Amino acid sequence: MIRLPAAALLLAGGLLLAPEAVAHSPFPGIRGLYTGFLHPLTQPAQAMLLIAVGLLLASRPYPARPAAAAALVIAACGGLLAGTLAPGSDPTLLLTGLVAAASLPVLLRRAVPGWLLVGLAGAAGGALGFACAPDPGALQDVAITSFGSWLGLMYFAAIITGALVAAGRRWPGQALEVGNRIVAAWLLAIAMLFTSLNYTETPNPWNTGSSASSPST
Amino acid sequence: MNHHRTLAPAQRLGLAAMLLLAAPLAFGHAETGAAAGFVSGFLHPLAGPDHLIAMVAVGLWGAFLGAPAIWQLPVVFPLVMAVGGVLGIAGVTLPLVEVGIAASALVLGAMVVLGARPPLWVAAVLVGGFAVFHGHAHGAELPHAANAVGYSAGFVVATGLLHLAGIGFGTLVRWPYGRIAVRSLGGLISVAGCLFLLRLV
Repeated sequence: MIRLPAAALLLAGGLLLAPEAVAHSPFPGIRGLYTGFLHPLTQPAQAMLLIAVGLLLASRPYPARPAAAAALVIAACGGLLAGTLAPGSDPTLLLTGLVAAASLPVLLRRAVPGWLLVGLAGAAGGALGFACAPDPGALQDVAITSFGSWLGLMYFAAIITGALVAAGRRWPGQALEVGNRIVAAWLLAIAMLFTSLNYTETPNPWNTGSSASSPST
Repeated sequence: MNHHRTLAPAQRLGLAAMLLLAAPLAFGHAETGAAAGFVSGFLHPLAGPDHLIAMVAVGLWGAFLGAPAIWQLPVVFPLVMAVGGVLGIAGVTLPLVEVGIAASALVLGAMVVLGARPPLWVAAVLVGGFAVFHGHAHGAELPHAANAVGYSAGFVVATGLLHLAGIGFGTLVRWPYGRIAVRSLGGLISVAGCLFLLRLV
């Protein structure tokens, strides 16, 4: 006869009771936090920019990398604030332009000067923050969603860049660099296509609605 | 010998690419917004057999040529294809687009079956030239309801995965029977391109 440890039974009982506990939000505004956190991944242009910046920062052991990371963190705060105070603009074209700017040095295997690296990271942080700014609403909801967006941006930027840097150290050969260049080529191609789509005369059904919309809902 | 049973990195990549290409079949509900645009763009190269076989042929030929063509052709193709896409979106008329697409399958398949090894720049110009036709067709046929970034991302990623699938299969050239298999596939692609060119399919 198999005897289950008392702890396992207790755990199973606890898990069976769990659905009752998550039937409503544990605290007000948590949904906005989730919405904001995941926002950078739900919009292709934002996800692409996170990847492009990660590729750029990881492509070489730049001495200016910490400064670039700091610029991204601070500029994201500024962008979020600007987007919250002046909502309504669609920054997708800016995002894709920055995708192209960050992908090009990786594709061409060219090092960028430190000031340009910091500038690009700062511009990317600002644009991402602006794009992730929530719709107008109650102050508490806006603040929570904004915090979630900032947290998500920092988290995904750190994960993507960190993974690429770690992969570069783990596999220092040419294969990873080739892979990064192929991804950079894809990103550049997508950015070129989007830019041209943006300037065609067709009606604009492509408004990506890129702001985090939790508060107004 | 155990190592004969293991897959090379490029083969694993190719297998993963093939599995990813099958992923849209698993979508159980309608997508909207960016996701719908991505799915629409992703399916576009897969829905056209002439596009599909030409993309696989690019990967096969790249693998046949070896480094650096194995990775330079998949870098050149999406960039030049995007230029073609821009022309298509802008409404610039390009003559004989469908003929160019069919010819790409015919010629690239023939390169594989013949084991042609031209200088890298010749291969890049040839592949890039055909990429313009493919990109133009994708750009001109853009569904207006699609999300632009999602659509662009979808069709570039699908194209890249088709290249990787071709590269993955193409790495079989390391073995004698694999070489026969790769060249046979090139021959089939070339014949299919010929049929598309003659509008027999």
